[in-house]
This record gives sequence, C-alpha cells and structure tokens, in this order.
Amino acid sequence: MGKRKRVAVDQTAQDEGQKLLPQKRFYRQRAHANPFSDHTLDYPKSPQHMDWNAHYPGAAPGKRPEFADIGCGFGGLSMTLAPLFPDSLILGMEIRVQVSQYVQDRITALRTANHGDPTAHYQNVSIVRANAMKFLPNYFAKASLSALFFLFPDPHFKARKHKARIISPTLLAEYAFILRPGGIVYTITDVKDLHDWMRTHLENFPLFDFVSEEQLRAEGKGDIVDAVYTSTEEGKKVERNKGEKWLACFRRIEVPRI
Amino acid sequence: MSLRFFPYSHLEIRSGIPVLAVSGFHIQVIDTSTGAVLFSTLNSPANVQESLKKSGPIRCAVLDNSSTHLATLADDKKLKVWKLDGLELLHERLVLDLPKRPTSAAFTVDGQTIVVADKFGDVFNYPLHPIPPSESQASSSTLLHDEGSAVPGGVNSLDLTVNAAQPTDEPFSKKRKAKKQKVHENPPVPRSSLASHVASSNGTLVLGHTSLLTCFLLTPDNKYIVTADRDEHIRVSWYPQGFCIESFCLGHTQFVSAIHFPSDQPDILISGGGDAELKLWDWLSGKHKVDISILDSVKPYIKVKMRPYKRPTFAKSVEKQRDQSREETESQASVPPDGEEQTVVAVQKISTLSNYILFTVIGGTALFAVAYPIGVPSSPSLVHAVDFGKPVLNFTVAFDQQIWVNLDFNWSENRDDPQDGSPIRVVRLAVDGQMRSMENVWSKVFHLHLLTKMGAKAGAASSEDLETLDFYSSLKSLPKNTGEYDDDEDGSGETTPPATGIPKNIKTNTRKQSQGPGGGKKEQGKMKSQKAVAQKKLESQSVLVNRGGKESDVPNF
Repeated sequence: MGKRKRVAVDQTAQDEGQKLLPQKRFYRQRAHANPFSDHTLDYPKSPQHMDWNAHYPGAAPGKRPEFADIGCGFGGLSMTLAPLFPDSLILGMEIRVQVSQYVQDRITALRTANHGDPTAHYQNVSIVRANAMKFLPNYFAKASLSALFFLFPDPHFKARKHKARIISPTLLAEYAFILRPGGIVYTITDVKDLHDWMRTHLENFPLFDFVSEEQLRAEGKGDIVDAVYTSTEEGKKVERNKGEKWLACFRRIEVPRI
Repeated sequence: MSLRFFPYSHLEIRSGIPVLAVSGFHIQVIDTSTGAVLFSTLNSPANVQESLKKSGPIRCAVLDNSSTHLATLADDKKLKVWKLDGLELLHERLVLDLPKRPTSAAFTVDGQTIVVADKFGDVFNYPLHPIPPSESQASSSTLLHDEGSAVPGGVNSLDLTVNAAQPTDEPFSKKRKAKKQKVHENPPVPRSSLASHVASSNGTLVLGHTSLLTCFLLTPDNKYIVTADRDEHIRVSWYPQGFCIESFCLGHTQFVSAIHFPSDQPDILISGGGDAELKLWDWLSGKHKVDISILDSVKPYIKVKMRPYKRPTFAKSVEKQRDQSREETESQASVPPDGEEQTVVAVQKISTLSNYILFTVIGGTALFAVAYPIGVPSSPSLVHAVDFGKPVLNFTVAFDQQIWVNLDFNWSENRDDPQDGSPIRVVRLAVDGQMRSMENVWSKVFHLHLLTKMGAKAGAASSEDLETLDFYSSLKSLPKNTGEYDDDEDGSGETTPPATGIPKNIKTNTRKQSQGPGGGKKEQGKMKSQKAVAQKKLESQSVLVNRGGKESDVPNF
C-alpha cells in the first residue's frame, strides 16, 4: 500500500495519459488489404503539393519527413522513434482505414498528453493512410529520406500472392529513389521465408548494400535497431509467442552509368 | 448478309519502303508506287495463319529503325518477329510467365533488343532473336511444363544461367547478353520460391510499376526509358539500368495514357490521359512546364461512351450487418446509377508536326491539332479539329507530313448500320493549324484492298471477331473504380487541410457511415478517448489563454 502511495502522483498522470489513448480493440481490422485495387485514397499530386505543415504543426515550415515507416500498423515504431529523434520528422504509412485512424488518434492523444515536453512532444510524428506500393513518389521527393522501415510486413505466403509483397525488384527502385545515398532500409520479420525473400532481393538490387547489425550499432544507430526489434505491436506479439525475428538492413549506394 | 471487315488499326509509313498495314489478325505490306499488296499474311503458310488466328487481333506492331524487322503483339503472350521483306515469320516466343499480357513494345536504336511492357506494369528486354533453337525448345517446353506446376520461374531462372554461359553464333549478341547479365536486377537464384519477375525466352527485367502500365517510350538516344501508368505517374528511368529512377513527372490527376517526345525539342515530354489538359514536362528533372487545356474542345467529338466499371456492391444493409469488418468497401455514393453512360476523356496518341501538337482521344471521331506553346501561353490554346464521323483508331504522321488516320468504320451510333466510308483518311495540316481532309488516292486503295484482299473468307470478320477487337475497353478500365472519377471529389491534394489539423488524408467518413442509431460499440469506444483528448486540449488551451500564451503554442491536433 505504501508503495502505491509513493508513486501516486505519477500514477494519476499516467492514468490520465492512458485515458486519452485510443484502445486498439475499437480499431481492429483484418490484416490484409489488396494493394492493387483502387482504394478511395487521398494523396498529393506530387511531393510539392504535400502540406507537411498540417501534419507537423510544431515543426519548422518546409521541413520534410526523414523517416518513413511503411505499413506502420498501430504505430509502435513511430511512437518509439519520435522522442528519440525530436528534430526529425517521422511519417507512418498504413493502408487500412481503421488502423490508420487508430494511429491518428494515438498521435493526437500523445501530443495532447505530452504538450510542452522538450523531447517527447510527438509533434514530429504523423500518419497518412496510403498505398505505399503505388504512391510513395507522390509523398517523398528524390533522396529525401534517410531511413525506410519495413517491419513485420504481410508475408503473403502463397506463391501467387508474392507479387503483393512490399519488397520486390521493381519496388526497390522506388525505395532507392526516395532514399538519399547512405540511407538505410530496415527490414524485420518473424517469417523465415519472407526474410530470405527480402534479403535476396535487396542483396541482388544494385543500389543496396547489406549492412550488419553490428555496423549499424557502431554507427550509433543502435537505438533505431532496438526499436525495430522491440517497439512494434507485431514485434511484441512475436516475443510473447517466443518466435524468432530476422533482421536485414541495407544501405543505399550509388552506381555509375554503363 | 453483308461481309464485315476489320478496320486498319496501325500503319507504318516510311520513306523508301512499302507501307505496312495492320488489320485485325493480319498484316499487309503495300507498295507505295503501285498500290499493290506486296505481301500479306493472308498468303502465309497455314501454320502461320493458324498462329495468327490463335493470337487474336494484333495490338501492337513495331518496326526497327532499319525497317528490317517487325515485332507484333496480340492478345496472347506471344511476341512474333517478322522479316519485313517477304513478311516472313522468323519466330514467335512466349514472353511472359506472368498471367498478364504484353501491351506494348519498342525496338532499341540498334534493333537488337525488343523492349516489351506488360499489363502488370513490368518492362522486359528481349534479344531480337531468341536463344539457339535447341535451348529455345527446352525453354518453351519447360515453360509449358511450368504452367502446370506451382513453381514457375525456378527452372527458367536456371535456364538463364545456362544460356548466359553458352557461346552464341553472333559475337555481337553475345556481348549484349553479357552486358545484360550484368544489369539483371534479379539474377537467378537457386530457390524457386524466391523467383520474382522471371521472364521466359531470355527476357530481362528493366523496371516495373505497381499499376497498369499504359505506355512507354525510349529516348531517341536510348539512355532513358519513360513509363506511364494508370495511377497518374510518369517515371523516367535509366536505360537499360531501369533500377535507377531519374525522376517522376507528377501532376496528372487521372491516368496517363499517351506520351510523346517532340522531335525538335528533345528535352520536352508531352503527356495526356484522363485529365482535361495535355501537360508538358522537362522530363529529365520532372519539372512541369505548361498545361494545354483540351477538354472542352475534345468532348463534343467523343462518341463512344461506356458505362463505368462497377464493382459488385453490397447492399447497404448487408454492409451494416457486417459491422466494421467490411469498412474497406468504401462509400459508393459517387458512382453514377446503373446504365448511365459517361464521357471519358482518354488521350489515345500524341504526335507533333511542325509547330503543332497532334492528338486523338479514344472513341473520338476527330483528329486534333493545337499550337505548340511557346513560353507561357496567355490565352487558352485554340484546338483545331477535323471530324471524320467515325472513331479514330490511330494516326500516323508520314514522312511527307501527311497525316494518315485510321478509322473504325464498323462503328455507328446505332450498331446495325452497314459499314461505309474509307478505313483510311489522309489529312494535311496547314500553317494556321487548320486541317484539310484530302481526297487521296490512297484511301481508295486501302478501301479496295479491304474489299478485295481482305474480303476473302479469311479477312472478313465475323461479328464475334469484331467483338474481340474491343478498341474502347480502356475507357472502362483506365478510370479509377472507386467512383471518384466524378470531378466533385478533389483528389489533387491542392487544397489546404481543414484547420482542425486532422490531415485530410484519413477519411473520417467511415466513422459516420457505420454509426447506426446510437453508434456501435466500437464507435463509442473510440469516441470516449477522442472526447477525453478534446477535453484535455480545451483545458490546456484555457490555461494558455489565461497565461496569455501564443496561439501557435496550442497543439493543433
């Protein structure tokens, strides 16, 4: 009892913060969305037409996102990275209506609850509902990103569905386009087959070079790697189920013309 | 019963060589001086005829720069290569393992590579001549075998390795092959489960869109490839290193269906599609230069109309019962009611002649000309039109600056009218942009050929055959299926989001939609936390006001 009293003040603050947060169970949606069909999406005509200020009202005007979390799901990674990189803009992208709405409400709640906090202000994180397989170039200009995340993507197990996988030789060209040279692609999955797929295609792609976890940690990106491993809802689920996680990261390189 | 004939869908008119004409399943080569048919696939051996018939109407016919080889694509997955002289079918090959059909093709400058785009959005390189016969056999047989098995691609990828190692007859092609192996984006991997974008017949992947690829162009120097898709994108990639994207030309709000490089302005790209204007780009940088508005001038001539594609929709009540699980089925409210035909603008082809941009639209009965904009045009450009009364299928600017227009003479507003008029009309462009239809001997010649040569039992078309031509299906397939084609919805992202700070990207309509009387449990759950946030926001706001804080400090979310 005494113990509880001691943290009573913190507890109420936390409780209050908790009350603001949306609850996932009200936003459940089936795990798959067809990336090839015409969703009623709202996307900018081009990166110049994107009003980032509406997404990041606290950030300096003209500032553009640097981290993109593709298929951000319930937003675990974005919310973890936000306080770690208070000066970088983070954008989550999610195709499912309900889930993107959840992240939206979550960000609103976090911004309200942490108003005035110098680092954990969550003014640097936002979400768009988007089909990243089609419209990434509408959001991000050439070489504008320093990190792209593909965390626990839909494995699309059937061979027939492989074309719907988020990593493919043709899509990698678009990822390479929006990443600046030196930028990192982070992939992680608990499905070994998908890991092999992603790793093989990235390795075979001329504009990406494998970079080891140790190397990334040595470069000071340990916080990001940790977040990639543990911060997402999927990642936590895998932990609960004692599953294995497969990380593969790649650096954007440049090649000469032939 | 009167015989019906296939209209000419494609002409190739070059100085010094016979005219190449494509009509339905068949190809004709016509002498320019006498007007006589030199070669016709109607005279081809029976097996070639059979193959042509099987392949369906020819959709695409391209000639290499030296006018030696002709490549054709039809409705099947076969790429046929012909020798123009004699119209001899050199070979045909299955080009794709993928379920999608090839849609367009082009020869590289040296004529040694054929670039093929398919409906799935991918572009592949194929060597002019397929791999040596023995292996070609093996390859096609494995392909056939693979079609039945669950792992297509695996065996073929291995084939690729073998082929690359094999010495070929021509040293030149060997060199090219070696080069291509180097740029292969997806080298063969031992595990078939990892194969992606594998093409048969030695095809190598250049690039791909996650969309229907509508058209592509190689720059005249073959250093870049420009690809356009149904999702408003124009992509500029290196060639043959298609994995390097140089730029995107973004700004279309509808599908892009035609692109063109003006021959005297190599740094400019003209594009058109479902938008009300043609767009000019500095394609290397992706910078938009200028718009030429065409909609009002073009609309009266669009005679072929289509009922919009409609997804099978669930009745609203069913949707409600299914609760939020089906919320992905977005509102269908803006889809016009059944049976209402829509006028869809879809630019079919763009070309340039002297100072004019020439273009046609799918299902339009006229050829249009608009002055090439010099600088920023102050007034809307004047679009000239010459009306033919029948939908234009294609047009070709010949070396002598005459414009040859292919017409769908089978078409009429009430379908039972007999076909009449010429399949080909010739037009001349005057300096003022006016176009004059010419009573050209050639149009008569074509008409004659149609009636005599094609009039033989093989050339006449049954009504089912004519159905397969399906010239206007793009009007249905190109616009988006979400019902947002109606211009009341703003998909441009130009307007500023509402002041609430909620990015307009995330539709809130689903929330309203599923809110029955009293709202669902989920809705109530969502509302609870949203209300709490609003409450908290108000509190902090009032605190700020009391403190005299600045407006900008208020969290906007």
